[in-house]
Amino acid sequence: MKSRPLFQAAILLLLASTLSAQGTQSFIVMSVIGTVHCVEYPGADQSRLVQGQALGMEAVVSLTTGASARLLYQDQSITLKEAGNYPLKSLVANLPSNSSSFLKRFFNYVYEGIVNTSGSKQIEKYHELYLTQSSGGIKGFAGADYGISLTQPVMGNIIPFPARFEWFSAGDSVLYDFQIVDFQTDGLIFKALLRDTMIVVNLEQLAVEPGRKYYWVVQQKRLGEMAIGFPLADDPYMRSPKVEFVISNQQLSDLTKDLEASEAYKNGVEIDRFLMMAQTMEEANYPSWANRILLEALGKEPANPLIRKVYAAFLIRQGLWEAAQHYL
Amino acid sequence: MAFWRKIFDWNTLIITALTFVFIWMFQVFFFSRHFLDPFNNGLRDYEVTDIVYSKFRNANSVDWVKEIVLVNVGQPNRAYLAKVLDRIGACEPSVVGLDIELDGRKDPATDSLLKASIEKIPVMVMASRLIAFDTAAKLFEPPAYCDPYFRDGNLRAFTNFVSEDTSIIRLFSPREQTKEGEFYAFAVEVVRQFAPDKVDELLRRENPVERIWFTGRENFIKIEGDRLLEDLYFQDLQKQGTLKDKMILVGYVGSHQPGEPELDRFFTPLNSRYTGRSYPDMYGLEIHANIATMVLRDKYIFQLPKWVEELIGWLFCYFNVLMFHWIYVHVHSTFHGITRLIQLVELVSIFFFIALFFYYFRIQFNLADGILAMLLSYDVIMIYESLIKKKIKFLQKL
Repeated sequence: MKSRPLFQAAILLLLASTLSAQGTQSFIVMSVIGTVHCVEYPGADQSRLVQGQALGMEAVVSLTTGASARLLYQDQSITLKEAGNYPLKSLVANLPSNSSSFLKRFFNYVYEGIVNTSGSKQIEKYHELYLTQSSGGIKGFAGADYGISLTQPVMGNIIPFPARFEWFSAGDSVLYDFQIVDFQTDGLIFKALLRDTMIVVNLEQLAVEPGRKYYWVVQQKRLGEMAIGFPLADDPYMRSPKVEFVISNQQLSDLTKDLEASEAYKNGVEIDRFLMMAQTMEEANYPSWANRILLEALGKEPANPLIRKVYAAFLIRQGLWEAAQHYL
Repeated sequence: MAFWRKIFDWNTLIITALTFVFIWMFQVFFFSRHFLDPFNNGLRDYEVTDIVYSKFRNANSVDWVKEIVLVNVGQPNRAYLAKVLDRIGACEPSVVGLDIELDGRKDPATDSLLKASIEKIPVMVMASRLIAFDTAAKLFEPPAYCDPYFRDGNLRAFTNFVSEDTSIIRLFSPREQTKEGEFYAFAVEVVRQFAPDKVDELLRRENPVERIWFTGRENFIKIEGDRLLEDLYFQDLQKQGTLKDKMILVGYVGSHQPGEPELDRFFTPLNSRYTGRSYPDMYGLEIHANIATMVLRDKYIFQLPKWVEELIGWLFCYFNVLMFHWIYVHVHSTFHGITRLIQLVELVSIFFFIALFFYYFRIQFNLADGILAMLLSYDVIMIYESLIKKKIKFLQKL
């Protein structure tokens, strides 16, 4: 008879502890650098994020370029460093398990000590594996600053046709997080997680406005990596440059009508016309269109050294040194 | 009686004693020699428990210390510091610890502004440094680097840690006697103003130095001084009550990014590389915050007395020798293989138990001599049986 009240009390205690545990399912802002905003729930006004603030699951944190924030969820620290919008619910979904026990960590340590006998002999034997891990000199100096190089100059003014975004492979079993982002607000416009190193996006279908600036960026991801789609650290060696572009509503014929009326163009051979057209497009800051014309010219005469050199020089001017090397 | 006869053996006792003589000779003649310096410098400043901190701790787990807030003011000038302290004071903190040395007087106008800002804060602990020890008087000289103009009416505390210049910070001294009276360590003084009963508990332990129980550097809310000077942000922060009734530690805390000046940065056992060269991993202010956390939460490290460690070491060695000697006598053909295997298993097991006790119970004990004795015992048994015993007839009768 006496055991019944005890049992009831135990159930109540368990229930209360469960409820109180649920009550602490919030994020705490531990540090903020730069301007960071948040919307606490859908439809709420945007407010400034401050340390000590508690945020619920419905909140979305927005970082501007150069800003960072560190949040605490339960006992896990999450650092947001890259500009963008971070719905907290998605962050939780992507958090790695934090439940490895002391015993597991101990045996991992002992096991790694046995398996990874990383000594000088090991380094000598497998030097190829270690060679890329450290280097003298200044990283990125007079060379590529980014881990992902682009093959196509989708930049400058862009006509909202299907655009082909392409980049060099960053290795096997790498996924690519491709994003198109509003330059002014850092709001995400388009996003895709890809295995391929290319994507064709019909810009007409996206919520983009003529005259407005956007950028696109590709971030390396590995399978099983934390927070796919929500990069927690901005490491240039893990991504492409942020390539800015503006949606243009200008008619191409407006740009080319003077050229097409010129004697030089009329009297030139086909290849000369291609080159002149490409130059006009480049001068009007339509590099992607110029690229398209030059590729068309190359398609007609792939071995023509003049076109190859002109195209290589064009790519170098757009900062695509690695892509240019194929044509030199 | 039969049990004691089984476990007591004169040969075993002599081999154990010989083993410790070997260890002693080894330490005297080898470890103190300079040609072993690279080895020494790499490993002398290392404790087994460092592995617990750097490898077995759940590095992803953050235990938020709600009572403490860090404010990073970089390397401030006094006018800037005055403005930041004004803002902090307006948030009604419980106590403010200023880990910036205000040595000497500078511009009278800014100095008076700073003094006025300091005076507005009801409880302020100011950083100073112990720089000289008078061995004759057995007292420290009065703490330096805090000008009397600023310290007037405020508490002073020393920011020194107990360590060699570039060593790992593991210890702090809770209080020291100076020619001006007793002074507390910076973190201890700040906690004393916030929760005096906690410091009473620390002092009751009567340890001249305490080991720091490091909990991490991400456990604290951190605010940039520049942001405090932004009106809108400051209003939001005040509304949030982030600093109200808290312990505020003001000083230099970088963001641990590459290229930051190595100012007030130290090595701690949390460093992911526990031996050899690496980068200092914690700012002084973060170490003070860790000490304050440890005192606030009564998380002290317990050390076994030296004599207990010695006793365990001797007993450990004795029973190993007893076992190995038995194997040597009775299973002589496989003595080498079995002994080495047992040594390996024992080594991992001891390491596991040391780590386990430290991780869960914060009990630290040093079994270095016992382990070394266990490893040497194999060779000492061989030397004893094949050389010493054959030369000394008396031993053959034991």
